Amino acid sequence: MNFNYYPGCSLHGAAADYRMSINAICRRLKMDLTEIEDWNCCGATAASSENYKMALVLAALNLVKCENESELVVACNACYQRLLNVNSKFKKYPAIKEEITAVLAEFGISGDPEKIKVRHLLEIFLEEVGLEKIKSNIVKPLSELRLIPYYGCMLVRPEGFDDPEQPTALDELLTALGAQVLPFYRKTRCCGNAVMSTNEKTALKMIKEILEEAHFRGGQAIVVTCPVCQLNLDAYQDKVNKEFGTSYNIPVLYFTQAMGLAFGIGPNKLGFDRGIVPREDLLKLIPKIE
Amino acid sequence: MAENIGVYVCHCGSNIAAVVDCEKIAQAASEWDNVVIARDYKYMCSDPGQNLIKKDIEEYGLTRVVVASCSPRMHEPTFRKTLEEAGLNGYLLEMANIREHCSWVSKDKEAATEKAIALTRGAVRRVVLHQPIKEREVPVNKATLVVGGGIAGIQAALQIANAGYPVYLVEKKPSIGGHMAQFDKTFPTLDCAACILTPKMVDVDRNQNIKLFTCSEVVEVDGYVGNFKVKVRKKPRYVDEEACTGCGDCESACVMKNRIPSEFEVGLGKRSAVYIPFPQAVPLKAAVDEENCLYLKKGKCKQSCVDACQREAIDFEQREEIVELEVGAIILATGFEIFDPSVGPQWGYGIYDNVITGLQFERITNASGPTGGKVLLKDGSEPKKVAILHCIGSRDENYNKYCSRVCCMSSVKFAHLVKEKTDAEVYEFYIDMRTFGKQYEEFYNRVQEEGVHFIRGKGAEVTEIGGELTVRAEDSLLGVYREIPVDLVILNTALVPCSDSEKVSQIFGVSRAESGFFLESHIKLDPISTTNQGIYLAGCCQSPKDIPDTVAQGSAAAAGALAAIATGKVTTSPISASVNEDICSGCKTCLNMCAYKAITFDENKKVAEINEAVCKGCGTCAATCPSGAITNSHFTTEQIFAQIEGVCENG
Amino acid sequence: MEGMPVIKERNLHPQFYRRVKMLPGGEKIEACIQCGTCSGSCPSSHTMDYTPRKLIAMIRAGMEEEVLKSKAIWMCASCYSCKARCPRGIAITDLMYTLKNIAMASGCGHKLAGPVFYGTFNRMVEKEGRINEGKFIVTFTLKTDPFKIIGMAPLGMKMLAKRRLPLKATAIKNKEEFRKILARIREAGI
Ligand SMILES: Cc1cc2nc3c(=O)[nH]c(=O)nc-3n(C[C@H](O)[C@H](O)[C@H](O)COP(=O)(O)OP(=O)(O)OC[C@H]3O[C@@H](n4cnc5c(N)ncnc54)[C@H](O)[C@@H]3O)c2cc1C
Ligand code: SF4
Ligand code: SF4
Repeated sequence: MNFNYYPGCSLHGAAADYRMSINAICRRLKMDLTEIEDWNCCGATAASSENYKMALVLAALNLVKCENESELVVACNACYQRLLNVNSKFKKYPAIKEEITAVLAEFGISGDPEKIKVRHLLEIFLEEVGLEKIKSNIVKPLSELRLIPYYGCMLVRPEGFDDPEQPTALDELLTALGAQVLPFYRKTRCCGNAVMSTNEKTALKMIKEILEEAHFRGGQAIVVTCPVCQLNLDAYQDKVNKEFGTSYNIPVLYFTQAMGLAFGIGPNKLGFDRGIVPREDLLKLIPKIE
Repeated sequence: MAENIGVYVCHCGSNIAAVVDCEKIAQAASEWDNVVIARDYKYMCSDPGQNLIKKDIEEYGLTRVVVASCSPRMHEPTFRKTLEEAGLNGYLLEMANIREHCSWVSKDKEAATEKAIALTRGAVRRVVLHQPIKEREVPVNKATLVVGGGIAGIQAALQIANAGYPVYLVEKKPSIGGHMAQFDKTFPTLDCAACILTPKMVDVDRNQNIKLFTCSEVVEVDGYVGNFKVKVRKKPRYVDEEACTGCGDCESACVMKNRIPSEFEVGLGKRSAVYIPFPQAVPLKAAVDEENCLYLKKGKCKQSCVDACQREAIDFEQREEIVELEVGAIILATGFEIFDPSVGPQWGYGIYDNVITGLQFERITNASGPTGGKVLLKDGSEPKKVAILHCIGSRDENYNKYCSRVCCMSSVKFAHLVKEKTDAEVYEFYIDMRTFGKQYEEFYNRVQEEGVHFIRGKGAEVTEIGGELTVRAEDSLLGVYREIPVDLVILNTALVPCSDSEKVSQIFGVSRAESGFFLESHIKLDPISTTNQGIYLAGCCQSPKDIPDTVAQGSAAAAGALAAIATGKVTTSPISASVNEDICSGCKTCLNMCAYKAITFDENKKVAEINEAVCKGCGTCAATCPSGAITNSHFTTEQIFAQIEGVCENG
Repeated sequence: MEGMPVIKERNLHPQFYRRVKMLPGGEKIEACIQCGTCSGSCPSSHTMDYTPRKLIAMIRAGMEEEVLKSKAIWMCASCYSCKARCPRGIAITDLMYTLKNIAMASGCGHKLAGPVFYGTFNRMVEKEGRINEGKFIVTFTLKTDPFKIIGMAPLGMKMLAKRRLPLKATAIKNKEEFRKILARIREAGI
């Protein structure tokens, strides 16, 4: 299986562990993710805040690097939503599409972004690889782990492949890995990233609410699908504890790391040691050999 | 063909004349073939307007009439009558709709006038080919079928029965009463629901003219107005209704006692597999629930109910029966269901224990309910803070667009009941307070005075913060976000169409509105009839409404049915399709197309046959027939083409 | 203390409402029933000077300056909770973006942290084609609140220790053309 792939800036930065785990499990599943040539930043929330056309151009520039009628796989929720959004915006505002297509044409760039299907990596595992194949690769079922599935907002809103408030894709995947998936209703509450630098207090309150329910449900770890969510929930736990007098200490891992563990891949190859909240205790709950 | 046509162009006050030049139409019309007189007038439907037509028919010997005015929906019958009164067959009339199709949809005077002239010309061309046809009269069976035994059906059934005519009342559940039987008090006067409903339910039981079928559903309807043939599936109760005294001994003896969630208690209480739905049930007879009875389901049970019943009424040999009825009219009164708030997890229903629906609250506050009428939390303690959320699933594109009409008032009622029974603070979250009925605003005022906190802002989310149930909302009058911790949340959910309403609409041949409720003939002037003549609507199956409106509509539907019964006959539209046997190739294409099952196949002659009485003249078959063997009277191919040519012709 | 604000009709700008209606997110705001579901669902509204619902009311009234100078629009976390729940299908998040676009283009509120944050980010994207998270945060903090750098150090050190802060610069290859395209589109305005 071969896919066009958009990693996004974080995977080349703070989310090194996400990158490592993706590489490791894709090798195991014989999937090739081919980075699109010279991709650029998706613009995150910044470009759309200043100039929505700039945001659309940034996204379109990436999409037109894929062949028509192909798919583009994205690992980060924020990038995913930005790239996905171009199509619906173009459909809704044909005049804007025309304007942007014309600008790109001035630079000899052709290609129709609407012909590219943007998909999240999680979606690919569920719908293309399939749970059966994933299950057949499991050597260490995660049956001792009580996990909190956290999706974040950008995976399902405003668009996506699952329910906008209570999606189930990640629950399904983790269940297939043998884990005990806990009920969790703040699945898609925002982690506050967009306001972290400008309004830290609000962002911390948002993070706290997620940690609060995760703790209340008795989760041993939070599983995420996005480098931005990971960073906020993981790196700011300390600050949350200081701000609110709590003592949360919940490791936050990527769903691909959970898959890697179940596949029996060595934790270091998955970047498991790179959690700000240490994840090592979890390893004690993984069976030695199956 | 030489005909004498009169053309009458109506101003409809300024409704038409403000945009369309009526005089110009009349002028143009006076030049057309066959037109002997063309006039424009302020109100054609008024008495003087109609007299104008009558006078002209006499003076000019008119043989055809065209009225260019509003939609024929309202006034075609009016002008047909005008023609009849002047001795002309009513079907020698044609109307051109120059209001809805011209003046109301355009500001461009010239274009609108041009279109109006074209439509009128089409009507003139068409009317030349009209044939006089006679309306049919059919005899009316004096019995009426009422479907659904809620307050709407009860009211309609009693009204007709009291007038001395037979009624069959078919109810799906083991008892009549509908939702009202579950309530404690009713707004705006707070009289006890049981006190005002039970006497009516008992009347139904006692009335000699009413034959009640419970645990029953209509499965097939054939025939037409005045002469419907209905099949009712009567499910077994497994209890001999004659023998059962309703003592409840079986219920106490049942092995499944207190193990099955009770529908009547909306899941808050438990019942046995053999049960009497509620103490005031009519008929007051036990019924066995097939799904949960161990004996019926698994074939294995010691049958303690059989031993307990001294009247030997339990009868596991009972089987389903199909009963055939013949009735002249049908009243649909199938009511509503409650919106399931668990589809919106933001409201916390099914997630947090103390989030309940309004209907569940009705049971909690009801003296015969699971808590004996005390307002209590799941753990048995009394709430100190209660939130009531309006519009859950109503006025919301994501769920139902419409306003459910009764929830503002029932929310205010809930607030009052909580205040009356506890010391709790009550917070009501509303978008707009709609207390429109008689004595409703006064009731709202009274509950305001009781100290309820009314917060203008929809309850956006119910969640737990620091272990406390909390409602998040904007207090929009203050423009601030609030998180209000409470102990109990009452979600006042939308009234939605019954989940089987699609099936029911097909069985009875009635249409449904966009909302899914059954569609009336005219939203303002005929909210009782349906497009299927002889079938009437009453209560919430037509749209959400309160008890006063439901009762009024129940009586009105009864009046509709009684009018036909009293005269013993009804006139039906003579517009119907017929098959030319010589042309019909016997391909049977039309058979499945007819929505009213009016077409049968004559196996001897190998041709299709249309039952004129059943046919509604919709024309589907005529349009489908590949051989062109079917003609729809008053909508013949020639008539339609003449009209099209008239509209398209230049000048 | 100031009294209640009195709005003078002549200070209102109906054309502002008309303009917003033409831009993404503005199209259905006339249908807003002011129910407050958006604000009640918003994780940020408790810190906003005007709630999302109120902003819509203000736009409809033509309160151009107040809307464009509001802090609220910079508090939006872009989580789309409001849009998912709005009973009238209004794309409030997109509306928030549109308001930020107008505010940034007209210079309103430029001194707030929000526009500086987004501006800094976008200038870095324009320059390099990609974002180096560490470098960006440092640049932004130096612009707004240099002393905060010290407070950020512990987290930075931790990230570094966990090998999650690459110091190597990241950039695209075809910077020339990329910059030209972005300049060209920004020229077009919103
Ligand atoms: C929580 C709540 C509180 C309310 N409080 C008040 C109040 O205080 N005052 C007030 O004026 N109004 C109140 N209302 C409104 C009131 O409930 C309705 O006006 C009334 O119940 C409508 O009666 P109905 O007969 O049309 O429908 P229903 O009460 O729903 O009765 C319909 C009946 O038809 C039966 N049925 C359904 N489908 C079939 C079928 N296919 N075949 C046979 N039978 C069928 C059902 O079993 C049921 O018995 C309240 C509503 C709610 C939800
Ligand atoms: S949720 Fe929608 S309708 Fe309600 S106030 Fe917000 S924008 Fe208006
Ligand atoms: S998208 Fe913005 S305005 Fe809407 S709920 Fe999220 S933070 Fe609030």
